[in-house]
Parts: sequence; C-alpha cells; structure tokens
Amino acid sequence: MAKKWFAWVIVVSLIAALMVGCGRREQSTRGQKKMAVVISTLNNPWFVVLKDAAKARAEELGYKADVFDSQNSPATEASHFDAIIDGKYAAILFNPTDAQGSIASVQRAKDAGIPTFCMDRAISASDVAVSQILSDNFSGCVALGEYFVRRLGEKGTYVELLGLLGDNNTKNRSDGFHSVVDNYPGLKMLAQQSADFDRTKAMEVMESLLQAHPDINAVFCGNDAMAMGAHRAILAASKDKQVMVFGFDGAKDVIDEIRAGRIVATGMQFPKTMAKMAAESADQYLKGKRDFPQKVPVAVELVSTENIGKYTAYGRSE
Amino acid sequence: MKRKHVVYIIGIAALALVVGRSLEFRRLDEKRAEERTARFSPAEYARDFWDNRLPAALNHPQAADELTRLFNTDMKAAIAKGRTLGESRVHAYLLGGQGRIVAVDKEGLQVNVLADDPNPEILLCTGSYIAGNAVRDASGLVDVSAFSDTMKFNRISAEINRIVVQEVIVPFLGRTPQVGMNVRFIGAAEVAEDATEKTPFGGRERPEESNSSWHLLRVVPIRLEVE
Repeated sequence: MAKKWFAWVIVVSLIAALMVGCGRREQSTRGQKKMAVVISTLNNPWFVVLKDAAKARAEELGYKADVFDSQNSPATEASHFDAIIDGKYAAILFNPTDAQGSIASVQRAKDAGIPTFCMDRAISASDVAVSQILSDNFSGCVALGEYFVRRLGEKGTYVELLGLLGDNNTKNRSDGFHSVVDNYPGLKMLAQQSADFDRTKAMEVMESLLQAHPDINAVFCGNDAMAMGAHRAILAASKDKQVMVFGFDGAKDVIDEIRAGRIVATGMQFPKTMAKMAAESADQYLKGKRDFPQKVPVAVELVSTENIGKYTAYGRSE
Repeated sequence: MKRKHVVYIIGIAALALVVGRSLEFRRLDEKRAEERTARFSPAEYARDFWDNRLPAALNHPQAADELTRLFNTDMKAAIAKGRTLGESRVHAYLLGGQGRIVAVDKEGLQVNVLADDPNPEILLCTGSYIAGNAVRDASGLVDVSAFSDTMKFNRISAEINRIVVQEVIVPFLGRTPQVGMNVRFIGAAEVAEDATEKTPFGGRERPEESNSSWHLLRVVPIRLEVE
C-alpha cells in the first residue's frame, strides 16, 4: 500500500514539474512576441539588406525576429511556413519566391491567424496577405528605358539579360523597359536571354553573346548582380569603351561602378524602406489597426552618372 | 428489415461522401469576381476609363500657370496639390490652361503659359508614343490594390497612353500646329520632387544652349485644341 502511494506521489510530482516547466517556457515566448522574416534567397546581397533591415526594425519595435532563407525554393518556403505556424509567430514579413506558388503558404498562415506582410515581391492574390509593399518595377524601368534611349542617341544594337523567367519582377522590368525602347526603330535588340538574376551565369551568357554579336552598343540587365556579371565579361573582352551597361537594384558594387563611370545607370529600389514599412505595418496590425492598403508601390528611382551624388548603396545619400 | 435499413443508410452515407467530395460550394459573388479578373482586358478597362470615368475628373483641373509658378517657388506646396502612388517622390497632377506655342519639335509643343515671361514652361507631349503613368495616376481613379496582378495595373497605363496618341495627338497634329498659335489644353503631368532643384520650369540649364535644353514641365495631353 505504501509502495503504491509512493509511486503515485512520484508520478504527480513529475507531472507538476513538467507543467511548471511548460508554463515557464510559454511565459518566455509570451513575454516577447516573435516575427518571422522569410526571404526568397540570401545568396544575393540585395536580399540580405532586405532581411537585415526587416529584422532590425522588428527588433527595434520589441519583437524577437527569426530569419528563414527559402533558397529560391517554393517547397523550402512552404516548410518554413509550417514551422512558423507551429512556432506560433505573431506576424510574417515575407519576400515570396513565386507570385502564384506562395499564395497557399500565406493562406495557411492566415487560416492560423498569422498576418503576412509581403516585401518587394507580390503574390498574385489581393485578399490573403494583409498588405504588400512592392517595388514599382515597371515604372522604374520606364525611366531607365528613357535614359537608355537618350544615352544611345536613339540608335544602336543591344542585348537584354532577363532574370528568372517565372518571376513577375522579370516581366515587369522587361515590359517597362520595352514600353519605351521599342518605340525607337533605330534601336535593335539582337538577343534576349535569361541569366536567372545570377552574376556568374550572367558573365557566361554575356561572354557567348559578345562572341555572337561583337558590335553591340549596350546591355540591359534585369538586376545588378547580372549587370556586374555582364560588366566582367565586357571587361574581359576589352569592350568596356564600346558597350554601355544598365542594371537594376541599386546594389553597392553597381553604385560604386556608376560612381567610377564604368556602369551607366541602374534603377534604385529601396529595400530598407520596404522592410521598415513592412515591420511597422505588422506592429500596427498587432496593436489593433486593420485598415491597410493591399498594395503599396514603392517608387524606383533612376541612378546614373549624372545624379550619382544623391545616392548610396540601396538608398539615397540623405 | 432492420439489417436492410442499415445497408441503405451505409449506402446513402457512402454516396453522400463520394458526391460531397467531388463538389465544391462557393459564394456566387466570389466566383463572378474571379471570372471578371480572369477575363480582364486592359484595352476594355482603358476604354471604359477614358469614355466614362475620366471626363468627370477633368471638370476641375489645376490651373497650369498657377501650378507652374508654385513648382518654381514652393515645391512643398506644389507636392501637396498632387497625387502620389504609394511611397514615391514623384507626384501626379491634372492641369489645364492655355498658352502660346513657342516651338514645335518631335517631342511636342513648347508652350508659354506665364504671361509675365515669354519663354516656354510646358512641353505638351505630342510625340509618336507616350510612356509612364501620368494620366492613370493623376486621375486618382485607378486603385492598385484592386488588382491581384500588378502587370494588369501597368498594362492599363499602356492602353491609356495608346488612346492619347490615337485620339488626342494624331487628330491634333492633323491641324498642323505652328509657332505663335494659342492652344487650350487639359493634361496630366508627373513631377519628381527634385525636378526644379537646379533649374525652374521655364529656366535654362545653360543659357548659351539651344532651345532643346529648356527645362520644361512635361504634360500628356487629354484635351488639346487650337484656340
């Protein structure tokens, strides 16, 4: 009988100890709410800046911020969302991998009561994320296209390096650029090829394009990583005096090259602004605000050798 | 008898399960909204915008001469009078007025709207194409949040610009505008915050250069006629 009582006391004590422990853990997460920062890839310095700015602002606002790298894989991204839902995060600051493919993940978070705020890239749904803070890629490339026309004097030949073919930013940028440039019959595009937003691949693609079209006057690149890759290939072929390079992003190395006069222009996106706005919107949401615009375009500004003094990497100098 | 009932109930339940899993119940208005989105035509949207929605917005354009003067003297006050899409340092305006054609080139008509200055301040864009979002954004009638795909939002501008070229610019150029003529216009402009930082609209960047270096407020015409 005494043995039985003794066993019961041990079991009850263990359960009580476990419950106290659980309570303590819960309290520690309850004390500081968590935000998840989900980024499409951290292989590109531009997205690292977006991640750093989102994390820093979330922490300034009093949240614990955890970073998830989707490595450009919608499957990895989906598993991150599973972990985020299980981990009871308060909000998600989200840079999607795929406009269509990422919708289901955001919907699952919404169903679990976790609000999502998109940064830089959109998802093709207007009732799933709370708000989407996006670069106005199309308009930015209209300005870039106008400058391209002016710098080439309305005539010449060029090639275009596209980003990832399934990415809506690739299409928005290319369409914005061509909405201007295609109106000039003196400007002829000799090739249009994807280099997946990747610097190394852009260098390889540009090397072969220079062999096929040795007399081109310019290359328009859908991001700055590709602009740097193209620039390297052009330097290696000793054609840097002949071929003008145009990028898009406002990344540090391209800003430095524009300042040195070796790259002509880029479109300045504002990753720090977008990340800050997303973190602040999430904070406002968690404090009760519900009235958010579904889409907030953030203007892209033309940066060229003529106005480089006003800009620094990823933003304006002021 | 009882056994027969049980078999019936199981059969009906199995049938309901099979049929139920193959059906999806959704709200009719959601379904219709989806269908509208799926068959979205930028050309049709732009046509409806131009014919039915834009005219009312043109009833009270800002006075072109006053706005030009304001840009040149108080950019902050001028910004407050514009429309801004999202987070941007570019602002859009619907403006109207009259002025004298000072020069005609392939980009457009250089027009003088300030009575106390003989130089042109405005470029009425009458070139072979129009780029940008001036008309769409200055009107304030198209909400980006209403579009699940931002490409559709961008294509609307391209279609509006096409209408401007075909239905405003081409007929107007048919009347052979010439230097010295007076024009009356309503149009849309996009202005960057630092546009008048170095040189005011109507000023010259370098006095010794030709007319092409004049710093002008670019206006996409919506209504344009010779007086």
